[in-house]
Amino acid sequence: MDLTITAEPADNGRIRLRLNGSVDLVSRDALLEHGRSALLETPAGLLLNLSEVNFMDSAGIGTLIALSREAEDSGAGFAIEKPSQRVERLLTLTGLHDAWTEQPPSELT
Amino acid sequence: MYPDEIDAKIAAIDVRSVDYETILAELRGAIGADTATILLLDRTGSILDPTATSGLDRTLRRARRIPVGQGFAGTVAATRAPYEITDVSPQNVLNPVLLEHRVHSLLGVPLLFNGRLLGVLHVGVLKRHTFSGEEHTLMERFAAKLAAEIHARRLAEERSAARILQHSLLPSAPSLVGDWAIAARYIPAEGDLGGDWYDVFNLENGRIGIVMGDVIGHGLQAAVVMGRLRSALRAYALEHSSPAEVLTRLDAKLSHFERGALATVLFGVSEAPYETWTFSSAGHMNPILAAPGRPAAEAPLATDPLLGFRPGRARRETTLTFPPGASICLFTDGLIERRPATRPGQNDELQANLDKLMAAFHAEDDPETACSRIITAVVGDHLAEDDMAMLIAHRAA
Repeated sequence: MDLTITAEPADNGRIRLRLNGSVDLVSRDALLEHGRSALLETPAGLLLNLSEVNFMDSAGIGTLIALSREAEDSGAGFAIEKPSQRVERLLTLTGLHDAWTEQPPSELT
Repeated sequence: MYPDEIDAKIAAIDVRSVDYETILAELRGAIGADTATILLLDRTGSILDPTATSGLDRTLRRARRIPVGQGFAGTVAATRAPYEITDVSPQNVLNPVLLEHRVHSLLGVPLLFNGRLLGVLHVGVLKRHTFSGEEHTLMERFAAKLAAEIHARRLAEERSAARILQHSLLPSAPSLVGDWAIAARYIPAEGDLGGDWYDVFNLENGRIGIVMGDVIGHGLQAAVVMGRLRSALRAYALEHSSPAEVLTRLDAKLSHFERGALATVLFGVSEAPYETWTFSSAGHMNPILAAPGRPAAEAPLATDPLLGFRPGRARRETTLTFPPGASICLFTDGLIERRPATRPGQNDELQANLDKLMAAFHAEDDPETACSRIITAVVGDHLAEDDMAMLIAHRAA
């Protein structure tokens, strides 16, 4: 139930982190570390792909919030994409889903 | 004495069931030292606190706290390596007690557990003495054993402090208000404590408030934040009648004074004749409703982000109407959140447990019975991985 993290370039100069596995207390440090080094590489921001996250608990949510704070403090963006059903439900429950999901371009204008 | 004999004596010292002074007295006897002292690193990691001593003043009252990097013990802490002084003087030792007792030579070793510095152990001799390589080795070996014990004692202390705090903060007997009966349960996790809480309190003009909350994180820190949130929520609830307003203020307070802390909170208020409850939810699990002749269902509450995330945004509230005989169940996610490992392949354990909860929740049960029935159905005899709290309010039929 580990977490595998892969970094790749995303749109607008951002870095996409693909998370595969469990986002919890055990994977907290690894996720923070990957997020921080990605933030050092790009000022544009992070895009977290959560499609392969099969477990997330409140400690995991705390980690995502900590990472979003660090991104925002350094003027970078923070967004998520494609949460698995379970994760989407959890993020909706905690009121975070809308805050981190990008609106389609038409709604931005 | 031969080193082997000393080694055997030191190995025989029982560190488990006695106080630090006794341990130090035995160490002195085994190694042939006149004084022995433990200094522990404080919370900030920058100060060494004299904690126990043998052969010196018993009180330690006059012993001074040593900054890491200064004096004898401070040097051991900063270098995390053994250090000895053959000629103690005010130039190389800060502690007046050591100087007054005319300690002549000192050997100090770091107390390390899993690579973390917990403090410093040192022994002193009143005559001039050069510590041998064997004495260094024996002290380091004993320090490792002692550090493991110190770590274990700290964990136990923190755990019992958190437990006492938590129990002192939970209302002992939530009872009757109007035609409502209320029951609640708190089940601490095995081995680890979280920051779950519930609360029930009377407000002015016969209004009543109920709260279910969960501070994210574990241990004493989460329990302390929980205690502060609980008090602040009560205070704001006295001043503001709108639950959304109360949570907005609580959010601002938490974000300002406990930066980095996060909590989900569900807060509801009712007033005579107690037919409706108005709730505001800060990222909390939706409560479950049960009414006579209807299957239990999730309450359709508007949910705003959890406290500590982005304070200052407007919060919403939802008013629910309860027919006679209806019940509501508030809970923390420890109740239904379990790892998928128990059944690989099935991802949505959360929903499965929620379904179990709803199937076990009947409006006909009195709240005490309903609490027991739900806990049996959802938790069974699993060990609790996370602490959990539940509160059921039932309107008489």
